[in-house]
Amino acid sequence: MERSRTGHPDPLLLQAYADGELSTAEAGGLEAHLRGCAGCRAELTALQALLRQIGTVAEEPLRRDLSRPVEAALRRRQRLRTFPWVAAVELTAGLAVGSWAWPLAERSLRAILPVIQAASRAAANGVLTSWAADWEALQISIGQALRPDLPGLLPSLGLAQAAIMVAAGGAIWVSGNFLLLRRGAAR
Amino acid sequence: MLDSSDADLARHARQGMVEAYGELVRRHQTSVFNVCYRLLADLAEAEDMSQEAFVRAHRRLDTFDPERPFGPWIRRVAANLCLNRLQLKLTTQVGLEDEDDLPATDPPPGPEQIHEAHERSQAVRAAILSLPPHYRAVVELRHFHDLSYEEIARALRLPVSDVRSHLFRARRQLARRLTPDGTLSHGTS
Repeated sequence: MERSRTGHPDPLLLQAYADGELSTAEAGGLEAHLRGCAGCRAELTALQALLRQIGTVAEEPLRRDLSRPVEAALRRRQRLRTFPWVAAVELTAGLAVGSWAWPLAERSLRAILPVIQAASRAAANGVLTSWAADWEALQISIGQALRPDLPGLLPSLGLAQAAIMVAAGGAIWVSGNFLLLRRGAAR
Repeated sequence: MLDSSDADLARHARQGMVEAYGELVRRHQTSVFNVCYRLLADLAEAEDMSQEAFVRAHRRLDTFDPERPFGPWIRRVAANLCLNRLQLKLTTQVGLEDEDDLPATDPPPGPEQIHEAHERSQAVRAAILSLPPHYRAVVELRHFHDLSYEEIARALRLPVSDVRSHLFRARRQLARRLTPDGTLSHGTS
């Protein structure tokens, strides 16, 4: 057993005993000394009382609920993790739709262009009556443009069908985003 | 959700249920915050670190064994985070020989504060908070996480002999500040 210069056990040894850190042999040696030394017994009792006292420390109340900011941080992280997938799907879908829709858009632009030119002429001349004629021309042009002679798949596409197609595309985009993000949030 | 066990909530949280993890946070936030507060001795910093501890622990949920209690695990995550934060202070401390004479990072409580600490347990907390960071760290790990000297040495990357002497000096300072009935003693710091 380690002894200090006073002949009593080293205080660190007494502490290790109180903490249950001594081997059986070391503890036995110390206990033999404690039986014959009132001073060391008192020191050990005081130390044990202090250890119990430390264990009674009060809890400081928390001033705010942490669950909301933690949940928000987790959801943000999950969205960030999902974002590349959403972006990839949207980009692919966009390219697919764009490659199919581009010829239609081109025809529409070609049809509208003369009308715009006519409109600017009309505005320049101040002849408002020409609008009626131009409007009729525009309708005819758009009708022709949206009825491309695509063989088989789309023999004829009217204005209403085009509108439905655009609306359906939008719905797919919105619901796709919703599903993907929701899946990400639940992960 | 409210009557689910911690283990069930942890399983749900691992599967991605943010609300389940939120419930775990609500259950353990006060004890986690107190770990951080005892180590950092700063209320605002302790709140921030508690929040950070929960977010980081969520990333490591797969290392949590649902067969074991969640409380000690999350408190240990918080303690490690705070100890990393304290590491700089711990490593920049010089002259360990005369540390008893070093001033505490926070000023020790004065007589007014002592009298305000009506409850015994509050006095103990005030005494712990008045210790220097490296002493707070060993007291926290020994008394509130039940770690052995060896485990504390590993956690703090210190030799066991340093852990033993830090603990001894920390307790001696606490004994000086606390009377046997648990209130802070006057003029001992």
